[in-house]
Amino acid sequence: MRKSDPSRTRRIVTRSSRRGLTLLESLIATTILSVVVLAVAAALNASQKLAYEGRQRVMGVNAADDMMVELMTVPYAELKTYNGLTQAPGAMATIDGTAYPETYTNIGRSVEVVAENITEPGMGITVAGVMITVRADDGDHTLAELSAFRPEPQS
Amino acid sequence: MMRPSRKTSRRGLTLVELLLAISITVILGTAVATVLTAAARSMTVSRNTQSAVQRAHALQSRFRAYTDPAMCLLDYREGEGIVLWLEDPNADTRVSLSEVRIFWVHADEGTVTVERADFPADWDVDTLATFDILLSPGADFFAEMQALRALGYTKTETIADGVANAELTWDGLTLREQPRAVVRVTLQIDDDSTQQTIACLGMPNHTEPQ
Repeated sequence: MRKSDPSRTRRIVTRSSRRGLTLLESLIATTILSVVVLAVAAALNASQKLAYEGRQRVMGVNAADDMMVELMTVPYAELKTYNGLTQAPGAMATIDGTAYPETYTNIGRSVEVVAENITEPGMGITVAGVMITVRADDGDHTLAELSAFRPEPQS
Repeated sequence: MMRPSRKTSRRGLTLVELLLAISITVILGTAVATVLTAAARSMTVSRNTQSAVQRAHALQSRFRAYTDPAMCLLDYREGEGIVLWLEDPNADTRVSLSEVRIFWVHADEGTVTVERADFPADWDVDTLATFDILLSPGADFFAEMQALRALGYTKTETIADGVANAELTWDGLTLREQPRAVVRVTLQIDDDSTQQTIACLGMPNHTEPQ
């Protein structure tokens, strides 16, 4: 019986492990790499989109809050003239006409002023006034909606 | 029979194959690196913008915490600050130093601070009246607060940082007549870029001082 030479066996194994990749192996590796890169890119894209939406909402709240603050300083008798006021995205300005900076280009807002009486059942008091609602939007979706009641001043 | 097969499998890459493999690897690597670099840059811009928006929101809220209950904006000096008449506890429509808040704009430090009179709690009425002086409408509120600061009787808090500039605008002739005004703020995003924002300030209890 012929004895096997241990050094020869080792050489064959070593040489065999040095062989290159087959086309199929390369294709599989490339496919896996592509899938991973695409998955990472998709995740980054989704994260960017969420961050953008978050920013838009914060800016929407800022814009709506700004308008509400201004309306609280308008004489009560003039408030109803602001009902239906609409500022399209890119055309926002303060009541006094100061244009909003470029940062707010994608945000618009609208105002609703409705006469309303609020009754306090426990005390039996009815307060007359107006309900002011300010909505900020991006043209398609509402980003923020704020409402506040302003009582009619007592003469 | 086994030998030729083994020899074939042991064959190395030819120069063309090697060059082709290197070229493909380089092209793929460059493409991946470009995509990742662009993504990283985009993430940085997004994060900075997000931060600026949050800071703008915080700045708006902090200004409003003072202006919503305030009586009147008394003075404004571009590049220096805004004087606010915060309250009138005596209901005498006259301004004393302790009723005033000054928003200082420190463009060099990039901060906005608010300063107020801060007298020791154990002072008697006469001592307090000596320092908490009534100010005429034409008084230099900035100088009065600085004089009080020199004596150590003011307190300052920072309400915003990363501010490159802040200016106040209003409609009409005089600031004091206006129940509302607009602060236009330039926020520093990074070393090279800034972002503009505005905050509307309104005073529903607006009252002009005597």
